[in-house]
Amino acid sequence: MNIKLNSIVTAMAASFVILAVTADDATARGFGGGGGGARGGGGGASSFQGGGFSRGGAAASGSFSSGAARYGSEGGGSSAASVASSRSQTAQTASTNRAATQQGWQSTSTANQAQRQDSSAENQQQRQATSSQNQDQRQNYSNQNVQTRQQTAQQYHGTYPPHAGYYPPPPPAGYYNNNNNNWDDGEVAAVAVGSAAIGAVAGYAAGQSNASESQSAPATTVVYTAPPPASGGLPCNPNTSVVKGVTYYQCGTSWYTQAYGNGGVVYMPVPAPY
Amino acid sequence: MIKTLQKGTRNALCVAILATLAGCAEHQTVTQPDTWASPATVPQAAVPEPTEAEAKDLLLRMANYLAQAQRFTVAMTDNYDTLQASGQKLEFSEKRNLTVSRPNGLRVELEESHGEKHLFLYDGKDMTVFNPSQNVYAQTAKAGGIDEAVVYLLKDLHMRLPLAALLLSRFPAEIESRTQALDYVEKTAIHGVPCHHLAGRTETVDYQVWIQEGTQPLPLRIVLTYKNAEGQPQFRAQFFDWNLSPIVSDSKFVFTPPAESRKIAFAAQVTSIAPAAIATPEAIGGKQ
Repeated sequence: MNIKLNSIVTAMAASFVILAVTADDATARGFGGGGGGARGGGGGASSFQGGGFSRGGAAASGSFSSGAARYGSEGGGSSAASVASSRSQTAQTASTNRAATQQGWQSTSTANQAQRQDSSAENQQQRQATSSQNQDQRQNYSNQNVQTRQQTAQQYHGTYPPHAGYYPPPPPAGYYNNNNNNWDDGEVAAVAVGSAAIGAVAGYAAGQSNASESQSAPATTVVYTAPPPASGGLPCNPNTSVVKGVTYYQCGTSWYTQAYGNGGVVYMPVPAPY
Repeated sequence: MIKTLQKGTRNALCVAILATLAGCAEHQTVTQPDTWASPATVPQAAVPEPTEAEAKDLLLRMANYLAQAQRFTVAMTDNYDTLQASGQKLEFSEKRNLTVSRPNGLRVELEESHGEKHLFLYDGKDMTVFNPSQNVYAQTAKAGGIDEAVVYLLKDLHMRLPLAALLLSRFPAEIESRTQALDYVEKTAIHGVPCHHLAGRTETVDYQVWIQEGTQPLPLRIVLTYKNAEGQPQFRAQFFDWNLSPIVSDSKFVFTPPAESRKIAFAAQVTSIAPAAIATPEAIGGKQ
């Protein structure tokens, strides 16, 4: 029985060792390029010859904030509208979380503040007791006067106008807008730039194709062959024109100009210069 | 019987434990960044490590130290993950030389891993981005100092300037307002320089920062993890050659268009370009 039990334990240990080594080997093989996981596959040397790899994305911004939706698409199918919606939600969540965070970070100072408040509260209670008595007396006189004035005003104007402080006061100087916390939110901005540029061209095309249509008609209703998004290269060998000092590049009916974007110098689709 | 069983069990378990430890050690060797400390330089953990509150003090001490530095130069190398449409994650890298002279001088020289170079200049009046290989530049007026210019560059012009928050005089407030949690990870060393390793979390980014020990609490390394982005890509930056008292002249921040250079717009401003609103040739400057 001893021998049997020892054999079982030894066999289990051996199996464990084999499994550990196998897993290690699998990792090593994965690094080597064979097999591959769910997203591994393909990717031979020829893949690298075509170039065109994206240098963008959330991490390229190197910012302390990101507008990337949770495991959302970084490019391709994401529309400006969905990005805007996502960004709005993010801003709201961020605002809530910032409030919670500040509460957490302020917990230490709150404890100290509580002690100070305890001692000052006693003094304040004494002062308030005295001042309350005085205030009661003043309010009695004041209420009588206000009632008199209100009755008089209603007689003349029907309704009493709102007092001067009715409208919410403007934010104090140095007010920190929530959106400012996302000022370095680079990735969403990169998507927005491309979308805005294409949208502008689509809107322009709408005006050209049907001048009788209202200019405020949504660009999304226009059937238009969108030019390629801003990229480092043009889709053709273009005709070049210089109009008022700006160089334009023409590919068919599409016009482009060079611009500096967050990925470097790119060609942006623009309205025809003439 | 019990004795025999214990002996057998002990032998078998020893084999398993030794094999497992060997596997772990091997794995650790593979993943250990070469910037980490050698065993000889790692400070001994005899002293209790700082608490969360002390971690916050360390973080803000670093942030205040940078914010109050009137002039500094530093070299930075960074690399970042990009997730391709195929799902493949690639890493790109770049080198930067930064010169800051508060309140109005900022110069960033950038070289990307494929050799493309860019120069960013701000002199208190104009901000300029120049691409020497194509000999083109974009320029726009912006008064108000580095803080205003950097925020405008990223928020309005949608340009890219990694770790821009570190350049702001309000960096302490920025990092404090964004941080939701902060931990002291360990005392370690980078290239032999003792430092504190902190890990913080913001709403959208988890960050790690290694802060030099001593009277100059400078960041030596920063890692950002974009936890909400697909693939959770990282941005990793290493800082070298900090100089808190450089000699820099104001001319270092002024852009003089090279011969034959051509002025172009910022991409974010292109949508506002209309034939009637195009700048005159005199305003364009450089090669037409």
